[in-house]
Amino acid sequence: MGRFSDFLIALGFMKKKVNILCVGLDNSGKTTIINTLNPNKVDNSMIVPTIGFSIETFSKSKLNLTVIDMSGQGRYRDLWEHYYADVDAVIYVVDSSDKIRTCVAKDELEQMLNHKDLKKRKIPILFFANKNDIEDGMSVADCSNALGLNNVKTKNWYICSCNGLTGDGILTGFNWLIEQL
Amino acid sequence: MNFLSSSKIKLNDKNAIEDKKDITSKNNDETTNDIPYEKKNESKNIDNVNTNTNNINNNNNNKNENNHNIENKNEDKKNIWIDVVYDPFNGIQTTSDCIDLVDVDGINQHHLVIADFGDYKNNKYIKSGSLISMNEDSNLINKKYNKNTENESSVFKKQNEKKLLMKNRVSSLILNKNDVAMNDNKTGIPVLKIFKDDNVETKLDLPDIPRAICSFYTDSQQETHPTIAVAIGTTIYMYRDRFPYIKMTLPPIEANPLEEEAWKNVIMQVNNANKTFDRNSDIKVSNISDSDISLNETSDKHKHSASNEKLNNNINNNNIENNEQNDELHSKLVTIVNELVETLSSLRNNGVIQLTQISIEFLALDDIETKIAFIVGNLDFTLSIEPTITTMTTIKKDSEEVESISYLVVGVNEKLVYIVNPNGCQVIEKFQLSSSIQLLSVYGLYESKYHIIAGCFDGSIYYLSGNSCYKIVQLEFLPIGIVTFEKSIIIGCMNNTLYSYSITGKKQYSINLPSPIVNIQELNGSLRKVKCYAVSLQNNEVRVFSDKNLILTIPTPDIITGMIFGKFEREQNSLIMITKNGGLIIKFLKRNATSTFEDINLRPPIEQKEPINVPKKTRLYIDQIVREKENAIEMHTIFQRDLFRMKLIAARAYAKTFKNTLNPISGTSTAKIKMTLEILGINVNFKIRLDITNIGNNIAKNLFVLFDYNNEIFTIEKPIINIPIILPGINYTIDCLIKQNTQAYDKELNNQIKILLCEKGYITPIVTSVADVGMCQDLLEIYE
Ligand SMILES: Nc1nc2c(ncn2[C@@H]2O[C@H](COP(=O)(O)OP(=O)(O)O)[C@@H](O)[C@H]2O)c(=O)[nH]1
Ligand SMILES: [Mg+2]
Repeated sequence: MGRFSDFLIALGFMKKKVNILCVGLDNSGKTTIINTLNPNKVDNSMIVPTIGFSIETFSKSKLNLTVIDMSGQGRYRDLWEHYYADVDAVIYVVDSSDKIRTCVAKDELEQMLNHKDLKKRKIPILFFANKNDIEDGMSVADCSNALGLNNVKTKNWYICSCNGLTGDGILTGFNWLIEQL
Repeated sequence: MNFLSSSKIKLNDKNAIEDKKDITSKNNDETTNDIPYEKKNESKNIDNVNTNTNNINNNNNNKNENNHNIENKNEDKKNIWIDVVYDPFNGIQTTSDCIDLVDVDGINQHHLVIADFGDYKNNKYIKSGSLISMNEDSNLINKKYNKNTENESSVFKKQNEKKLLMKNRVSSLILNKNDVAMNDNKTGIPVLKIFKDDNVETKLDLPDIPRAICSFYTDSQQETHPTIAVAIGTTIYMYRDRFPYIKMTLPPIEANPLEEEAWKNVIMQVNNANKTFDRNSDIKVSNISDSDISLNETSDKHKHSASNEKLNNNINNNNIENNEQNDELHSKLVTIVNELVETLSSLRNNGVIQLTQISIEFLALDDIETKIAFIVGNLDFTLSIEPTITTMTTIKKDSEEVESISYLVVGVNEKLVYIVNPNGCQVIEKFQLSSSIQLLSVYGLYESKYHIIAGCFDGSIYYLSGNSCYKIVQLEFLPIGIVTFEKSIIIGCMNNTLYSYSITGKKQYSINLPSPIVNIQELNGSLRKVKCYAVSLQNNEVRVFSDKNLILTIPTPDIITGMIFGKFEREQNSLIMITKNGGLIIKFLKRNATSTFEDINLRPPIEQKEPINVPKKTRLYIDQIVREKENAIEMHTIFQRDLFRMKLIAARAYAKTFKNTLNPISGTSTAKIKMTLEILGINVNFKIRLDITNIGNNIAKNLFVLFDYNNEIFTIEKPIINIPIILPGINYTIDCLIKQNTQAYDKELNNQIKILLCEKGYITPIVTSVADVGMCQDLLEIYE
């Protein structure tokens, strides 16, 4: 964007364009959460596992958002890293009811943070501990511990519990992310 | 037990505990509520966590070392496993055959399913070995749960009718949901455990120690829930949706005609005897038929639970109380039974015939009275062998898809392998082998191309296919595990070795392992195409091979008795291991490790990449080449001449030894005698042992052994030993004690002892040997 558009953004005439990458293990609720955020879509009952990735664009407050919803299935996780270079924020979704795989989530997170395209950049990461409606799931603190978030010192991050189906907690988290941008 | 299971350890918890205190202030609101809960956990777990995580860290270090040569190039991929769970006190006892990963509820979540043997080593509730008692047990259990339903008796009648009708068919019994075999208050019994994550979600009690479990999909298309089959004794129990649903037994095998004859005779005689003493027999038969041994059910059901012996004793008491007629009958029965015992045991001792279970148990009964009671109570049974299942696996019918239809492949103790269609319970293929089946491994699809490799108890390996059944190889050591691929077989044997054969029986290679093999398991799932298999060893490690390449070594905290690799919950490549002491280990293969795995197999071995250290071509080398090119003919002739010279020298030396009779075998025509000598001991006192054999055909007479030595250094008790006669073919051993005089020892002097075997009246000795004992002296000096 040129100087002119910067000027327009500053004046509030034009919206700033932001790329957000949404990652997390399969079945963690990424697509559900993005659908809840997206004002253009309402139907949350017909979600099927994402193949490869899908891109949604919509505007929220003063931002033009491009959200890249990645597939979390093992064989598609290789695709994540191709987007690291030009994202402005990351949403990392964790299924708080899937305790046995938190170690996989942690491993993927570490790989992401240590990737050469992300390591040096100070971009905000929003963690969603999704599915807080499910009984005997992990609390936010549990999730944060399991992911080893306290060791993440180089990035701004925020974790909040949410419910992808009802939309509970999603806005709290998302507003934090928008503040950071 | 409760306490133990609460001390379960998630490896991640270590971090959890360390990091617990400083959760960022940003999310303070949410965390405050949860801290008390955390604390509770922490105090309980902290000891275990510390000790065990240490263990695992050590292991990781080892692993890195072991894999170093493989992975030194991609350092960042050092640890390819994510440690998920290590619960050393889970208390599961099982083997690989009894573990499976099953999508129990059809929601694409593969739960761990384990048939747990329970505390089989010291459990009073388990009565293995006796089929009669097992059936009785399961009958009792069934009964308990049918108590309230009205059709109690009809079910049993049906079962028995079926048994008789389906002589040549698989018999099956549809169970209803209440038939769950529950042994209330019994602990440590065998249980079918269905997990969710690492917690047991469903427990189904089993009537006896399971032999194998497998899961498969049956015919009906709209049904997506798999069936779990559990083989126990002679029966296959099938479960679906966490409930038992069909119980199936294989068709009985005809008994040997000789055995059948013996029983028929006896039954006829007993019947005759009964007829003559008509009055009393009625009472007897009806009484005894209530005992559990009998296969025919009659009116009185209340006594079912009473033990056989009590009943029998009662009857015997009655018998004695009754009149003389009874005594007469009794004595007649005694003779009949004795005869039967004799014929049966002689049949058994011949070893050719395998007796039916009934005969075996009959012979094992304690005293003659019980035996009589057994016969009288069982006048109308069918004599047949119920095949005992030793191993079971599945074969896909016509598609590799996960949810496609499968058949069961069952190996039995009675030397047969069956392919059974579990939907309809029909035997569709039957193979007769020469020995009891121990192991089975299947490759391919039943409808197109398949083969089954069967390993037997006598070490023979068979190849079974649609139209062929032949022995591939007879192993010298018994097999422990078999893995089959399209064209090759891997067999792990008791001699710590893995053998690879082609399916036509050609040996390809063998791999020696440092420790006895415990278990072999194919690694299918996404690694299927790379022919991977894991071998667990007694020295606490699991080695993963791909064909003949060792891919990696996984150190384990204990001996692994059971393992499975595949899709667990939602994770594709998980390795689940059960240790000998009942521990549960779960590891996930890292996402990018899969490609490493495949790479290793496809690329040539690492050694091949290392360049050989070839020195540079020097001036000298080039000159030499030029010279060789120019003077080739001359060089060849020189070489030939030298070679002939060398041959000549060798021949001369050989002739010389003959002359001096220095070779250990004498060449004289009178006596052919071989003498070898051995020096025992390295001390001042030692011994020369002579082995003398007459290898000719004639007797050698008048021989003597003479020692030629320096008598300043050595003292020999008998410098001449007379041997009056040596018979052909017999080995004579002569020991002579020799003492060394250390003072007189001198390196310059001759320290040899010559031993001459001579014949009286001849000048040249027959055999000469030289014992060089200087060495011992040198040794001595060093230590002085
Ligand atoms: N109970 C519950 N289920 C949820 C929640 N969010 C998502 N799901 C379900 O989780 C499943 C996977 O969601 P999806 O968005 O496809 O996950 P993705 O693979 O990460 O994109 C769907 O069946 C959703 O209905 C939640 O907050 N609570
Ligand atoms: Mg999705």
